[in-house]
Amino acid sequence: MILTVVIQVYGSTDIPLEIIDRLDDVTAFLSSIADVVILLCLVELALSFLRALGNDSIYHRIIRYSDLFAIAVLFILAIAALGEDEAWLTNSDYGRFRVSRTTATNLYSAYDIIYWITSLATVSLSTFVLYSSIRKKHMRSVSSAPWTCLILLPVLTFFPFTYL
Amino acid sequence: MSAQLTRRFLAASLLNLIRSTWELYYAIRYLVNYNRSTVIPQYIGVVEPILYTWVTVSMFGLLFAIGFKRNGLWSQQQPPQQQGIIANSSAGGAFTSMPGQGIPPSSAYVLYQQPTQAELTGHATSPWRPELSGASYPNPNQHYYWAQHQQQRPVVQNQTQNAVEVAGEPYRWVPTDVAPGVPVSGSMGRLSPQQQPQVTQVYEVAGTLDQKT
Repeated sequence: MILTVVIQVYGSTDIPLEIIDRLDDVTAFLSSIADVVILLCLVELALSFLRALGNDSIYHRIIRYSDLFAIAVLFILAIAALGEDEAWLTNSDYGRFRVSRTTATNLYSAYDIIYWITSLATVSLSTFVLYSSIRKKHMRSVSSAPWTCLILLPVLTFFPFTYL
Repeated sequence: MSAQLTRRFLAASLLNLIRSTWELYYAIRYLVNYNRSTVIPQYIGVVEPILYTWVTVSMFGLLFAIGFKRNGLWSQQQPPQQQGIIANSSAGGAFTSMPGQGIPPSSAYVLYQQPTQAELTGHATSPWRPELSGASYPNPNQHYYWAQHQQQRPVVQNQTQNAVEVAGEPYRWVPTDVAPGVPVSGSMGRLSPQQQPQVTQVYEVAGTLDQKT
């Protein structure tokens, strides 16, 4: 029914394909926004975990601001890619004219590369959170392992020289 | 906070890395220096839902699992005071491990062990204290407190005796271990159970009555 209405309004069947392509670009933009929100959620969750574990540091503020900066960059890239893609659709008349789409695809690529880097940093941060959690769990039952290491360290260090 | 939450969080981060890696592969392979002759193969349409959509759904599931109220980030935990009482009663307590040695407890412990006026007078409507009703044997430090309390307020003894009579429970004699540093008066010796009721027994009787009601 919607297709019929669109054909009656535009008088052509090519118009719905253009609309679908534009909606596809909007979908990619909304997906990018969702990715950004997920990134923000993961980083804030990691910092909250660290704070709950008592691991409070000045670096957490740096991490938060870096994350916000990366999110701002990603948001700008997503908007720019959306605008560039929509402009390409408009200027190229749905690919009939020879208008390059390289700028839009490069913007999408830049977005994906930056997002991959930030997600890699998020995995490192979550690994550190898990390490802090396990370390705190082990520190509740204080053992004599550190003292044993302190005693064994000089022994193991100078043990090879005993052959001399 | 349990380590399971942080493991879920790490799994969610790994899933996010997987989907972003797939996006990166697709961008580098087909989007960088895109031209009109670039042909995207059909297997991309098959792999895309697996490495992006399903992974995203799984990641959302993990994040929801982290945020669940039950065994999640917002699950309610026991207050630390109650946990301490449970640990003390299950492990025998720090003071019960040294019976009769007469180590005076801390002021906070004595304040906690002090009974209310309703418990001393033996009213059955005294507040229910489950941490005291669960003790099957008296704490020697409670006797220490009782010795101090008897010296200060001897009138309370008759009230507690009446409380035992009101409760209607047979009174059991429990040997009193008074701390060596505490002066024991003539009325505070090992008297008969009718003359020397124990505060802990009042606790037990009151708790039993409340538990029955």
